Amino acid sequence: MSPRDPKRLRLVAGSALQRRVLAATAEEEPSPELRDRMAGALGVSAAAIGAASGAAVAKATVSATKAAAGISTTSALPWITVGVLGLAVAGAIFSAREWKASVRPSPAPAPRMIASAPDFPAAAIEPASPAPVPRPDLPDVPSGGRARMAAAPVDLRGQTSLVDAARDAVSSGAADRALAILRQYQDRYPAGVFRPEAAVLKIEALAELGRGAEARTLAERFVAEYGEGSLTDRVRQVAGLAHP
Amino acid sequence: MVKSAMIAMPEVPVARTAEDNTRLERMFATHHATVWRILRRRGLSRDAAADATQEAFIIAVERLHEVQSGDERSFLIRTALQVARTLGRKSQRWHLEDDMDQRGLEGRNTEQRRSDIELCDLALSKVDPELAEIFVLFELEELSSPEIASLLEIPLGTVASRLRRAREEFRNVFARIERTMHHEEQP
Repeated sequence: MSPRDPKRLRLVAGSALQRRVLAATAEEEPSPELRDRMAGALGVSAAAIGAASGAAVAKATVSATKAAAGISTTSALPWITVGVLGLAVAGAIFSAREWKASVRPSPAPAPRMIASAPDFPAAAIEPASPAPVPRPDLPDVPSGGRARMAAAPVDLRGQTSLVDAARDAVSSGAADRALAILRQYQDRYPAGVFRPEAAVLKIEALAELGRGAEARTLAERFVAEYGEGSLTDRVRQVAGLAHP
Repeated sequence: MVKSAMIAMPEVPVARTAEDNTRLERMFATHHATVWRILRRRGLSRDAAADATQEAFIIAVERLHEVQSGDERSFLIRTALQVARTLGRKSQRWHLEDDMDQRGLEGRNTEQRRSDIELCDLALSKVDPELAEIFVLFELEELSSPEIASLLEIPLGTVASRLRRAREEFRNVFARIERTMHHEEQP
């Protein structure tokens, strides 16, 4: 570590959950089966694999020591039990609710848990001929603990799938399609976790379509709503807003 | 230092001397998990990351004599990043495991760790890819800023500014996810 480098987030991040998540990710290892498969394909001997295991143990030990030097993680976050975390990561609880909302004819607005993204004016999201929009797979209505766990990925998978699809559409110049996907995201997840990202993509799509005035209006709302940040920088650049 | 690692996959690994074999084994033992993790953070599944890791090492085999001693990790990371780019964005999705419903059968710690990793990947998937690359190298693989600057061949100041923005984006996304979780936890 360079003397001028900031401290790693996994040691100084604002929340215990964030520190724990970063530490777990930094320590992820391929399974022995995957490791053996890779080694076998490369003609690497079993002795080397053994050495790899030793290195992994050493890394884990170092990481554990670092974590121990930081603030206690799990114990500092009593409201998140392992079960709740597992469900929450997968979006289990709110996925069930949002999934139900998504299949109701007139979904009730979900509670706003985060600062809302700029509203999307209806006039700004009417593609000339709506293209087919990919829909994340929706399973049967779950019931019971295990079934709910099985359905858990749907919500976050659905959200991330739509946002990724919109991003791909923008990247490939299919701005109309991107707008249709983003409208679907907004309808399905009115309080979605990735509303700011969706708003940025909408501004990019509008700009791509030459609808500069609408892009600018949304960009101004975005800046007012979210303040400074890297997403705001991007919005300013796309919509041609002046930097403060 | 090898400046770049062009992707040119051989059909089969080239013939190696005993010395080459020893060096490759050492490289694999020391760095395969790092390479695999970096590819995982690009949105690849565990299996796909293993395949891509294999590709990175096959390229390393081809160019073993160009890799200076002590530069192995940089070469492999640089190669892994290029392999990931050649795979294209379409194959790089935040990957929810297919066996989520089996989690209850696993140990509590294993289940929690896998959930933690998925949460991190979810947040990372919403960070600008150029920034996420720096974030992963610094925050997760613990490279220093000068190492990253050298590896990516960009100025140190660019590394610092991208890292700052990456941390900001990651924390913002993560905080939103966390608030949602907290909200749902309330009765």
